[in-house]
Amino acid sequence: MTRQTRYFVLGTSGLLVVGLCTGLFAYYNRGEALAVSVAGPVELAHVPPNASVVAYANVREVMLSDFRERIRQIAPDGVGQAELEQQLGLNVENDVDHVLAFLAPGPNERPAGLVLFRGRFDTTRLEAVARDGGATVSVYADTRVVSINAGDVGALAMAFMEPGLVAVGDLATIHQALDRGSTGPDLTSNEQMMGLLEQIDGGSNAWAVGRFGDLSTLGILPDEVSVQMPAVTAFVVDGRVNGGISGSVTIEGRDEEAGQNLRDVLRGFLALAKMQTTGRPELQLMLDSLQLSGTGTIATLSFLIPSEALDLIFSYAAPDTAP
Amino acid sequence: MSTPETVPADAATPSFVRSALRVYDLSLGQMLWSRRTVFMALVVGGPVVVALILRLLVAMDLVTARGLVDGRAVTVTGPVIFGLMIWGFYLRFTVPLLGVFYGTALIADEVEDKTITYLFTRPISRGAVLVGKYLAYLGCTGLVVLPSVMLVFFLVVPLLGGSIGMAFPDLVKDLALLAVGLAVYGALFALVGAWLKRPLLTGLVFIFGWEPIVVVVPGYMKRFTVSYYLQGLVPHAMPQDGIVTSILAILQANEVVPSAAVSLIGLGVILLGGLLLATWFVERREYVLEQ
Repeated sequence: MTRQTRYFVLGTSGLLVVGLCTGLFAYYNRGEALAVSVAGPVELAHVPPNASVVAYANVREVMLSDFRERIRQIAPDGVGQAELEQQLGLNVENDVDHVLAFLAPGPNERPAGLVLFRGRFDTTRLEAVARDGGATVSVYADTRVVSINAGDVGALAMAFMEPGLVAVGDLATIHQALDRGSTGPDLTSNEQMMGLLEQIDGGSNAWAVGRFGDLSTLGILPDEVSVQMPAVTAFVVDGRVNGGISGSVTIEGRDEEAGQNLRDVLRGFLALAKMQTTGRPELQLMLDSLQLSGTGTIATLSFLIPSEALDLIFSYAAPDTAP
Repeated sequence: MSTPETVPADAATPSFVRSALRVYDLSLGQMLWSRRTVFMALVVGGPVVVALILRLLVAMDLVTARGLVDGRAVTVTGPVIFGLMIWGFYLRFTVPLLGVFYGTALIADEVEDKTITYLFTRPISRGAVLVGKYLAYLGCTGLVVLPSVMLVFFLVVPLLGGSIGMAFPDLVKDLALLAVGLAVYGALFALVGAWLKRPLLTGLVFIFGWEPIVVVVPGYMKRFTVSYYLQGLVPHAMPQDGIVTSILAILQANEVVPSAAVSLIGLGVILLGGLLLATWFVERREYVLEQ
């Protein structure tokens, strides 16, 4: 083999090895160093086009994060996880990948909502527990639906939409979701909501978007709040939980004047909060991380709480371990 | 006066493996620095240029992740584009083409250049010549195609919200798949080159005529293509071509993509069958050089 050939072989092999090592590093550190797509989980196909609020949380990433580890140190017993695992065979930390929830206008001016869980579920056990609790099982559109009457709230139901996807919500909304299937019109045909989804930061592992006008219609917001916020049309909240916590809250005003007013209100709120937290370092750290930005109709409040700041905050919250 | 030492026959004739490796060593450099490599560089450089242009367009905000197709919002991310490029550029075009150009030339070039006599008069088996040249073909094409895929991966996947970490397993599968594709197409066309007199033409008809047509025709004929088995191993979603896809869906209503096991067995049979038959042909065939 000539020297020229040898150099070529070494160069191209080196490129392959470097590429593979970089990819492997990114694979084992995914979610930390590189952006995670928010292209939209596939469950968007189950969200109706008229949904007012859509929220998403990547439970798996949050559970694997350092933040969760810190919480575990403060509350080692968890929040009823052992009971959940014992009764339902559901380990929240390992079995749930992500959750998508939405609210949409329902019949009788009441909001209709659904929570979709993606993960690994023992459906037989879930169904058995529900039956023991008085639920009934029916088959609707070739899908097993477990429902129970919850008095004034109406009938609550749980449906096994497809392998690894469980929907929980009111019975009528579940029936609608099953009727719609994955071929009917869904949220992706709603340009306004998709526009809000585009504003979500690519690395977020939890987010929510919604339209304020719809929230007023749904009756979720108290009348006092609805009256005070006529100029706000939409909101986008996204966050990334890892070693620290970062995120942003974006509020969209009806027009540019409303946007300017919103920024002024938030600026004033920040100034007031800083005055109130003098001498409280754990709160000052949080406030220092807040940043106000935005132009036109948009006002954005972003924050980044580094892991060191979290350590300090948690040290105040942690139980006294001194002997 | 000393008498010359007699060399035992076993020592004079190197083993099949040693012979093949020696031929590989000689042929790799010849293949890499031939005019054919310029053609190969153009073929594998194309996707890299496309990836660079795409990256530029995204940087200039001329391409967005979300768009409307048939009135329906679709999301296209870097990994999706990478998957389409692997299928469209590499598996459907580059790999078969390089297989044809290099595979058919393993023996045919030596016949055409009238240099095959020099190889066949060496004290090594003819089969070892073919296997050595085949290994050189694998090294030559692999060392050019796979780094090109690596560059495209790092240029395209992070675009539009894609994640390198998340897409890494697919990259490994793609690299393995391309290596398998090169090996299988190379073995098949090595057979064609050792057997037929006009192997290049036959090879081009096979990859651009037979394979695309037979894959569409219902029935068992598609089992006589390489792409049918490669298709079963592709980790990415196939590109949807609208009308073409609809027609295919009707034609192939009762047919399924082969399972990974069937695909691997099919590819293994073609690879081993092609290489063994090619060796058999080379060992027995009398090559008559045109004067």
